[in-house]
Amino acid sequence: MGVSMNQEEKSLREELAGLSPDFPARPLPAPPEGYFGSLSDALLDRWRQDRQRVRRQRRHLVGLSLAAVLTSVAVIWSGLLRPPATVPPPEAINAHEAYRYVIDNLEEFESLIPEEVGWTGEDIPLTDLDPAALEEIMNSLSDEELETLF
Amino acid sequence: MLMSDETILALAARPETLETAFRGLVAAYQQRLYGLIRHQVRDHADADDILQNTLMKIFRHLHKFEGRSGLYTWMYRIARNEIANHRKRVKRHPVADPQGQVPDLPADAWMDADRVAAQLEALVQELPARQQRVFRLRYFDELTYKEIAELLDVTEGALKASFHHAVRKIEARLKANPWG
Repeated sequence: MGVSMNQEEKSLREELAGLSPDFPARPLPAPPEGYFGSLSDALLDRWRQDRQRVRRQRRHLVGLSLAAVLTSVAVIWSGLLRPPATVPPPEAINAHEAYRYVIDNLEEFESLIPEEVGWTGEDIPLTDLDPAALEEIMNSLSDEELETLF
Repeated sequence: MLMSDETILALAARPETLETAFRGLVAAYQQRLYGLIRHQVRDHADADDILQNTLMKIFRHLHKFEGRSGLYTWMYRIARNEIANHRKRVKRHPVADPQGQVPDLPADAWMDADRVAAQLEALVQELPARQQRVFRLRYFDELTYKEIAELLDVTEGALKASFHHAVRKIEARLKANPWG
């Protein structure tokens, strides 16, 4: 139960009267006349104003958050829709450009280049060759090549 | 007819009856809270300011009240905090009158009440700490023994004994040195 000041004051006075009849009453100046009659209205006005202010602040915050979300979505979306880097069609490249491209990016074409064919058989000693074939080979060699052989 | 605490809390729990709860709470406790605050500050305008802040805070947080203590004990704590905040503000920004003096004298209408309160306060300060506390809570703040017991975690019997001792000591001092 809400106890008014009068009820509580009365209870205190009764207790004090039993203990000490001359004990001074609690000194308390009264508020201006009509103060208590208008207090709840004044407080309700203030409360409504507070609620409106909070609602306005909340709306403002929601607006800001929404704007931030929309901006983020727009940025991500524009990134997803960006066209991939375009390769010019072959007819747009002349031969010289094609050559330069191949030279500059040779590693991309390595798989297309056939491996160098090397001697896979066993070396045949010169002495085992047919003398006629040997002579033919010797005749086809230059002097410098002959020097490297001997 | 004042609303009971249970009715106020039940009405405050539903948005459509919130205003009714607020009016009921203010009607039930405004005088008691004003008395508590007005005893601590000399000026009615300050008391009004503190009381309004207290009631606004009470109402904003009423839905969080869990009933662990009595409703008035909970409101009393909020009012005490508001009084303390007010004192801090006044200390930081003392209001000077046009002559540059900090007003320390109350208006004529309050002179007697303040004089009696000041003399009583001087006698209260001579009491042991526990009796001082109980006397202030019972006499100045007009808390019931049940409410004081909630605040101090002491039995109501022990509180009554402390209060009665305090009253008798003050009475003896008053008889030896009547109001001047």
